[in-house]
Order: sequence, then C-alpha cells, then structure tokens
Amino acid sequence: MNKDTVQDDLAFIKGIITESRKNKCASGIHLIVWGILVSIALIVSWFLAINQIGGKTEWIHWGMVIAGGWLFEIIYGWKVDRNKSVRTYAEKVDGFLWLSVGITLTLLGFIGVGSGAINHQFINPVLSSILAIGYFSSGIIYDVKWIRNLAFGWWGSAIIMFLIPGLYHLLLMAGMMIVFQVIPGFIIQKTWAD
Amino acid sequence: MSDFDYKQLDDIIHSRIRLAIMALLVSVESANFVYIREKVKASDGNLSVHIRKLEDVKYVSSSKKFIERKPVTTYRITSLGQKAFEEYVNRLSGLINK
Repeated sequence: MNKDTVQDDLAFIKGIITESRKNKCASGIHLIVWGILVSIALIVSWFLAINQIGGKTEWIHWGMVIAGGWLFEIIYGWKVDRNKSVRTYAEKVDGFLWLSVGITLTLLGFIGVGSGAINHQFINPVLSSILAIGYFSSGIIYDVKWIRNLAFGWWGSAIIMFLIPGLYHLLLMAGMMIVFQVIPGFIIQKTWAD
Repeated sequence: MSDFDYKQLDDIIHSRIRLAIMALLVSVESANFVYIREKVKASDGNLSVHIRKLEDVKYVSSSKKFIERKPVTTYRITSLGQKAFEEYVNRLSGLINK
C-alpha cells in the first residue's frame, strides 16, 4: 500500500460523501397544499369581514382548512415516507423544523387568538414572522440561498402589517402565500422531488 | 511498522465496496438496498454479501418492511460503525501525513 493508494481511497470516500450530501430531497408539496388552503381561507375571511359576517363562521372555515392541512400531512407523510429510497439528515431536520413551525402557527392562530391573548388584528404579522424563521432555516439546512431569502419577504410583510393595521392584511397574506409559498413550492417540487 | 502498513486498517472496511457502503451510509440517515446498489454500482449478489459482512460486525443495521407486497430492506449505520469508519479515515489520513 502506497501513498497514492491511500490518497485515492480518501478521495473516493470524500466523493461518495459529497455526492450523498448533495442529495436534496426537499418536497414542495407541503408548501403548495398549505399555501393554497391558507390563501383560500384568508380570502374567505376577507370576504366575511367586508360583509360583516363574523363569529362562528370565521372559526368554522379556518378549522376545516387547518384540519384538512394536517390530515393531508398525516396521509402524505405516511404514504411517501415509507416509499423513500434514501433519507438524509438535512431532510429529517427540515421536516421537524416545519412540523414545529406548523404546530406553532396552529397554536397561535387558534389558541392565541381564540383566548384573546393575541390581538386578532396582528395575528398575520406574527404568523408571517414565524414563517420567515422556517424559510430562513430551511435555506440554511439545504444551502439554497433563494429559499433562505424568501424569509426577507415574510419579515418585510410582517413589518408592514405591524406598522399599518387593517383588513388588507388578509389579502396581503393571501398574496404572500401564493408568491412566497405556492410558487416556491412548485419550483422546489420541479427541481428536487424524487 | 512501515509508513503504509495496511494492517493498521480495519479489514472489514478495507474493501472498495464495503468502504463505499460505509461512506454512503455515514452521510445519510438511512438508505434502502436499491439505492445503495445504484450508488455503489454493485450487483445484487455482490452487495448482499458485503452488506452481510458489515451487519455481522454490527457496523450496519437493517430493517425490513413490505411496500406493495414487495420486501424492502433499509440500512443505516450503527454508532459502532460510525466510530469504526471515523477511525478508518483517521488512520488513512495519518498514513498520508507520516
């Protein structure tokens, strides 16, 4: 065994590890489904608000949307996860990150607003700030700058909504969901989905 | 002991195909048989023999499940395997730096 063989072995190991780590298994489906569901719910909320229809109706459609989203996650997660040929550490960390983001958003949106602990006028900028954390961290985990940079859009919209209250929050958030979540979801799906 | 004494190296890992399997599994959380076969470019029989050797020394663990009535075996590196792989790489690097 000589120096060249050893160097060759080390290069071989490095090559395999580098290639495996490049394996980005991010799925855009979650972003697409949640983005569409939430943007529809936001538009419905806006419609109800301008027509001064409030109360239980508001909670019913949000309840249906959120329950539908989580049901999708359970079914899709169970079905797709068992068929995956490889699971990377990045994918695992990213999955748990978005699970915790999702739980936090649900908690704030329902318990936070429902209990009156969070002023419902400012729930959208709060949720927008938390989504920014998700995108920023996801971009770092997968080492993809444009995903990381989506966070600045969410933080920017949070600043606007914190400073200028109003019903327009609902439409702005719906638009943000399409531009900063559904479209990126399609790009991710097209680029990396296995 | 010569500068490049291969006896310092773990015999189990010191085979191209087993080295490839270990390097692959150390960089992912888990991978199934078909994925490993494609990545290390081995035949079914050859891969089975080498993975079995890694399993025998508990460097790799496996779990079986059925997907659409087809058996799928998933492999992951154990903590013992991780340690052995790190040691192997350190020794290789040590040989080079001597």
